Amino acid sequence: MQSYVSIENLSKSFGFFTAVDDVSIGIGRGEFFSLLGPSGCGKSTLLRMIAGFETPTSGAVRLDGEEVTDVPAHRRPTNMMFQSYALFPHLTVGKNIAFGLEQDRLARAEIRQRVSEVAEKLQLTALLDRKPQQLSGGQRQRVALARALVKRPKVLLLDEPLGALDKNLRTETQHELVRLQRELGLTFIIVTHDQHEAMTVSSRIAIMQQGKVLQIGSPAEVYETPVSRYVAKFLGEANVFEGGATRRSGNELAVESAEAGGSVVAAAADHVSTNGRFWVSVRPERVELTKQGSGLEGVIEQFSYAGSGRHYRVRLKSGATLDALRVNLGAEDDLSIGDTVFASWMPQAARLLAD
Amino acid sequence: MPQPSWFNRLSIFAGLAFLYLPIVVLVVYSFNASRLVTVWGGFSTQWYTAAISNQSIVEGAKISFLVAAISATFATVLGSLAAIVAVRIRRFRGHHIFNGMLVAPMVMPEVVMGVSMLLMFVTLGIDRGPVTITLAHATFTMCFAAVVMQSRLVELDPSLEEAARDLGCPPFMAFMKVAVPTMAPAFVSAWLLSFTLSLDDLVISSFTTGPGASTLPMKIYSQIKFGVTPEVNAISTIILGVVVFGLVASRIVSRPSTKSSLAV
Repeated sequence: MQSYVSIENLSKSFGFFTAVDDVSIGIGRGEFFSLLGPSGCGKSTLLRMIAGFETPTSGAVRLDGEEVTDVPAHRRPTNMMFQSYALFPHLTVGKNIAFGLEQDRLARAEIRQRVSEVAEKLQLTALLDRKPQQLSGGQRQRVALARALVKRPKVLLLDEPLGALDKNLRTETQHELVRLQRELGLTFIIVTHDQHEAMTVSSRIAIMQQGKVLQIGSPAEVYETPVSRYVAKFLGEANVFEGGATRRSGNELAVESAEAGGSVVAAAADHVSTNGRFWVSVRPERVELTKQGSGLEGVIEQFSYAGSGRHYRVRLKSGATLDALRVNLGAEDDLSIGDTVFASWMPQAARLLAD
Repeated sequence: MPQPSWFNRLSIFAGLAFLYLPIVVLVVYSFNASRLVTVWGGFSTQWYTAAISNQSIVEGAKISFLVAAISATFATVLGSLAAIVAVRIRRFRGHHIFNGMLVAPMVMPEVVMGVSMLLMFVTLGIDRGPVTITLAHATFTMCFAAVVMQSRLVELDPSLEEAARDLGCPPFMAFMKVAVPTMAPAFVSAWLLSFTLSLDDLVISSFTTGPGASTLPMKIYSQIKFGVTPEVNAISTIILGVVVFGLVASRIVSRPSTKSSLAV
């Protein structure tokens, strides 16, 4: 598949520090793509190289088949929404939005028409004569978005665009972004450190750590089949137990784990060999806790009520901890702190990791 | 908030009196009807009339204001360039020395600066007069202008210019269209500060002046040699007024724009 945005072996070093290390990503037309990682993982630097603010040390960036690696920011068909919004404080909202079109020397009438179009789409029509200082955080965010969108970029880049908003507005704005992106059919690349945000908005996610891409996939792919312990733990919660594989029966592999204090099961494809070290990763919501039965034995040590679910932390006999989440379906809670419980899960609920 | 103790009140009062009593006396006696400086003879504005009809004083004031305006303009331009280098380029070879040298003239003895500038003008064979005073003032006020600009430039969000570039503006135009307008209050503030400093300078002016070019402070100083007259009080009060206006205006203009909480 020919990628619309193609990042090829891109690296960026600042002195001895390598911010982005040999990254290759292909992004399709109309995708909502997330670069996800902790702060300092190089995701922002990568975005800034796509925008043209940083010159790559090596590698290439292609947009719509054209190499733009050495094209300066002001001549790239990309537009960026900045984390700080970077609204021009001396200009009104209308002038802010028109700024990019004025640079292109478009006719006055066209500028006016396009500004009012985008203002209407983002509910800014009433605010066009205000100065940025007179706006709320959410309004500023919409102006920043309008200013970038009005240029009809091939790719819209968003650098932590919702970081400054409070939680409710954030969730609402995430849905709004997805709606806009579908409506306009544009390609969005968003940088975020919020895994929940990345999962909510994106068609695909690239998980980054220390300048490298660890995994690329749809939200479901990266959550269900993480490639490493790091990815499993970064995206949501995961119980990870180290061990060596012993028996295979069909598609199931029993892993003898001293850490878990027993044998844990995981689904394994045929090609997985039955020796070597493995890690078994299980999501808390897939763990079943019972008062009697089989499984890993332990004692409930902590409990927290989170509304939509109940969190239990179980101290296993081996000394390791295990987190379990029971979705709140309205049933009475029969477990309390100090109870002895048995933890088990379906083999296909666990993921076998080699790293 | 705790109430200040009597000791606090007293020390504040004593401190303020120490600083401002002489100035209050000066202002009050500038409205004195009596010719004797230390004897109150009723309210009058006659000395103001006398001062502004004194040809020599008016001549000095003209030179002073002209020198201050021109040197402040030079100082603001040069100081801004220095601030841009110090803030934007930051990590160049010798940036520590550059930053140090930028602010050193603020604490350098004025006499030393005066002598060195006089020597330079003599060496270069430049005739001394209003031009040399202007050059000297631009030099010593430049570092103050640079410090004002530097402090505002540090606060300027670098992504503003990036946003302008991103929207299709070449780098230099992005600076002119976005950074410069945003910095406008700082330019005014730096200019007013330089103007004020130049207006009341005596030492450096004395060293770099030539025949027929006496600034207002120099005129006053030479008049004082023959005794303090109420006329001098009146002129000093006028200068004080201009300086206070300049400083207050500079502070108001440079105050960072208040974040409006009026929006919802």
